[in-house]
Amino acid sequence: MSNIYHDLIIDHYQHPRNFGELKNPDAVVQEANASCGDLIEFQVRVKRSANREQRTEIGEIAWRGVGCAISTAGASLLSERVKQIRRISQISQISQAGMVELLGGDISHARIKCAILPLVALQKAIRNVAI
Amino acid sequence: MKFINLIKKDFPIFNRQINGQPLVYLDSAATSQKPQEVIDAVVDYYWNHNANVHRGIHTLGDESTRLYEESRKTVSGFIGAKDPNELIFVRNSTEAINLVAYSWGRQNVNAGDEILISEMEHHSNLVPWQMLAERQKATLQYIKVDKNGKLDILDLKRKLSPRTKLVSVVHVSNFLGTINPIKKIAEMIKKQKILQSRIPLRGTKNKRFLQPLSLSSYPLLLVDGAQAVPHTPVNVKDLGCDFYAFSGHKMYGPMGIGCLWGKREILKNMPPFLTGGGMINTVDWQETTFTGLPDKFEAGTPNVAGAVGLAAAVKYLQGIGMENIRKHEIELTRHLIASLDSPARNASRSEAGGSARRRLLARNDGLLINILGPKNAQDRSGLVAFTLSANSKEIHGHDVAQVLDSQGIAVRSGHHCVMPLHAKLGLAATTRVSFGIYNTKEDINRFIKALNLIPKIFG
Ligand SMILES: Cc1ncc(COP(=O)(O)O)c(C=O)c1O
Repeated sequence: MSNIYHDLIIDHYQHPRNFGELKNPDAVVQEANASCGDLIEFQVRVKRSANREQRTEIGEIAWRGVGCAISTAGASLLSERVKQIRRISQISQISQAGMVELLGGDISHARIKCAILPLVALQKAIRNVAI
Repeated sequence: MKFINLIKKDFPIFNRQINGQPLVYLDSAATSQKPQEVIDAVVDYYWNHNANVHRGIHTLGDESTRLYEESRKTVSGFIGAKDPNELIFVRNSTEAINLVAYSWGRQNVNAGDEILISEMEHHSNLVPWQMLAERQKATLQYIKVDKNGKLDILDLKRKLSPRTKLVSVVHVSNFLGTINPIKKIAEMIKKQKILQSRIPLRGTKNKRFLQPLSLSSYPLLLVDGAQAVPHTPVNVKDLGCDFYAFSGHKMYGPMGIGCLWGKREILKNMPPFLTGGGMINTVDWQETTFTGLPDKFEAGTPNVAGAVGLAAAVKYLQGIGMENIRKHEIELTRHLIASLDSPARNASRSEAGGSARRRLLARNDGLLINILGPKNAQDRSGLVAFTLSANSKEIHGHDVAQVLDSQGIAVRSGHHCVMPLHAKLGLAATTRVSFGIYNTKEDINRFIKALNLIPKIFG
């Protein structure tokens, strides 16, 4: 058995973290993968601060959607990552390779699209609040 | 008929191991594997005969031209065409359908006209008509699929009208496996033509005009035969259609070669699709006259090696016999459906949502399998699409396919280029098993065994 469904992925697939909706999101972005029928929605809320210039961190994050084990675990892992790093400038720099690494690194070429879907949705959401 | 285990030996790809296991290939509806005879024919062409066709005087040019035209004869004979020149070589079914949409469609379909296709069409028999309808301001209508996954023939009858210029339907659905009653559809269209011929033109007072001078030429019938030609005997004359499209690569031939068959009288009156070399009579600075059939529709250097390989595939199929192939695939389909069914001692059945869902099979091993399409193996071709839940959780088709791949088993997952019907049935991604002549019951048993890993992994 190839290692694609290792414990980390199965864990996040079965118990997705930060799954759901936010009360007052600053941005909501849906991204679909037409060829798979997958749909992932990210919701983010920026950390409040009196000075708009200083709104540079994500305060809250949630996501929901339908997808395969890879895109589901990917969204869950990514939301956890966002909570660690928080800074918008850093989140927007997560690369596709970084996303694959987050999933444990063993993603076959055919599944890259599944792995990238949550990242695309998240980074679009981030761009929407950054303006 | 050759023993089935011997047929596998004709296909060199089955020497491959996939993830440490001998390959079980259950994705022939996407593309079939190629027998040694087809590979040899292509190699022999390039080794010994390669030259451009219809152009040179030299020996190789002559041989190449003859091989190309002999291939046309072989393939057209295989589908029951009287005249080899009614068979146009193209790249695939998609190109064949586009040829009709661009050439015949732009000439014949006008504002207010209707094009009638079915809800179970592959995108390649849907998008070209959407584009044509948009361009010509015509409307695209859909024949409904009923809850058993069959074409609603009464709906077809309702929707045929004097404005219908074309009916285009799939012969065998690549998603539901349904075999459509093409002959019956052709008869209904003929009745419509007779009816139409008696309709007086608007403003005509003289009742004499009620008598038809000639039969109405519309609607025409195009059949997408991509999934039919490899699996069942096909005779275009017997079917009574006007156009028939199919792909070489799904019938054990090479990729990049496919065919459009059309009735001579219709093809003759159609303008060229692509233009350029190889299809002209005379060209001067301002004007060009075109050659006759089939060259008019084969602009540029054709895929001669592909045609030669396709002819070899046809001879291979004829050697086994299409009736035998059909019988073998019915047997496999029956075994597959029964295998998906058998542990269902406590089966719960449901016709959820009036969809084409056949039944939900609750297996005692934690798998819940929902088979799509007609109930009876006789009514369907050798392919079965399904959704699957493990311990009450629906497992995405890609995850199913990935687990099977780890065991050396190739299946297809996704929407199979039938997105609108997936949406109508409320399905995201399904898994599809499809057979070729080389498959055996042993392949199915290995597939079922691998399927049982799923609840263990995602349980
Ligand atoms: C029913 C049907 N029509 C058309 C096509 C398109 O065939 P091609 O990709 O060879 O043009 C397919 C291929 O999947 C098919 O299954």
